[in-house]
Amino acid sequence: MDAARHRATLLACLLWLAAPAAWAVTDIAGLGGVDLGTWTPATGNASNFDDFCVAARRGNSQNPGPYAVRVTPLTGTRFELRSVSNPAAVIPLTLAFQDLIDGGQEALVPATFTVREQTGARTCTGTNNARLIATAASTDILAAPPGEFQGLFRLTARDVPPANELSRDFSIRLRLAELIRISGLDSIDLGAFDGVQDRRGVDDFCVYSNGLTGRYTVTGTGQGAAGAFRVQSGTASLPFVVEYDDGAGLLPMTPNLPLAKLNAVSTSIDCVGGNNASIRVSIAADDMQQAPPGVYTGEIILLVAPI
Amino acid sequence: MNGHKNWQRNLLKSAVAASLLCGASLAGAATQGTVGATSTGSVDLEILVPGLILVNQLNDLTLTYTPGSDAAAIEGFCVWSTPGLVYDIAFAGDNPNAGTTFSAVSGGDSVEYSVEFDDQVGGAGWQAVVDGVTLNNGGAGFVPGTGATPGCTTENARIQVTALELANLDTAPAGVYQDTITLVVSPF
Repeated sequence: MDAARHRATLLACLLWLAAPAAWAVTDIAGLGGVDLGTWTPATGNASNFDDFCVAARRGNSQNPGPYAVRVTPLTGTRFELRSVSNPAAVIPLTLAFQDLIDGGQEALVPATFTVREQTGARTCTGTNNARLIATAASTDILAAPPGEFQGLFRLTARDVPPANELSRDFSIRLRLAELIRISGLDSIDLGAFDGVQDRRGVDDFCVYSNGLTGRYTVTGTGQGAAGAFRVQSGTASLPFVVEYDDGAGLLPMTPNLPLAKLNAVSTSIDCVGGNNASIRVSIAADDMQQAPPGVYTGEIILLVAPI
Repeated sequence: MNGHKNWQRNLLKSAVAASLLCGASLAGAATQGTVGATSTGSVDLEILVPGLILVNQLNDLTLTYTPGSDAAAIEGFCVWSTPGLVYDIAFAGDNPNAGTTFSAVSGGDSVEYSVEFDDQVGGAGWQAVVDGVTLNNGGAGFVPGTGATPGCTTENARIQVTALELANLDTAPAGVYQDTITLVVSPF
């Protein structure tokens, strides 16, 4: 009887060895996509992840097996987010995959399987073993127009060695508010009054906006009463005139009154290609001739806002 | 800052001069905006307004000698400055003279004359002028006019020129005697 049982066991083992290996990715669960949120300058690079589960079986056993993953853009060939309202506007994206079991991480190449052997789960019953990491660089985000950005992708998991594949589609989203920045400002030294001539000084600077139109308002405020443009020396003060130029010519500014301008750049936060705005400050000789001698100082606060 | 007073020729000269203060570098610094829904930056300004002073409304003086009396004339003028200043003033004649007097010449002949200055606004009263010596009202300075436009609408200072007859005009050969007085006013 014992001999008969041994023969049956041996036969079963031989049959198992003769059967084709059934390596299989059996499940991808919990892949919900990545929300990069609403980007703000304080965020820096926009990055977030989504954890999910990949179940991969080693052969006919119930033991987990290795697998590889691939992410393929469903639109285009690159990892990028596309503006919902303006499809021509894109934000490049980098994707990475992390094996949460052994901690290994690998950058993803579009439509290309990972090289590492990822650690599969026996079944997906609540414990995630995979992480998809999406990152958009702040410099790329700043060069994009405001709006809702989205990318659609397909993640495919394949067992190792390859036998079968399983895919899930997911999305990555990013919202970008309208942003503006004024920079490149310098102090204006008006020198010394010569007793006869008006004194003038100019400062060139940069107004960046990610808006498609480049339109913005600029509001100037001085340090005098009710924001008047005045320089001061002790208790004495002098009025001055501020004119603003966005490249279309000088226009006088009224304290606290927004002035509509057009020419904010949209591709460089600090106007690498050159400044695009300037102010000219003038103090009239008539006023200085009546002023007590002294060093007069003041400040102009410039507030820019997108339209 | 300076003016000339000629006998007989009508000249009016005036100039504005600055009493320069020490230059100063900008104390503040411009600030840059940050990226956001709005952005705010600032620009600092600085200008040096020096003390300024001007003497003008000067007219030439003509004195006529009538035997039996001294020759004298008074001429008003204006000293203007930016607010808060007082000034000193110096008078210099063109011709060499002896002691503290001034000289007017005609060829190789000369007559002597004296000059007095009155700061009408400051109320210092007539003060004797010594050729080339600065008057400062006993250290208090004289009070200039101030106002919207350099130059005064009313005269606020005057000089009196007197040529004594005795041993001076009465012994001088007949002729036209001339001198130029240069007035230098400075913030004090």
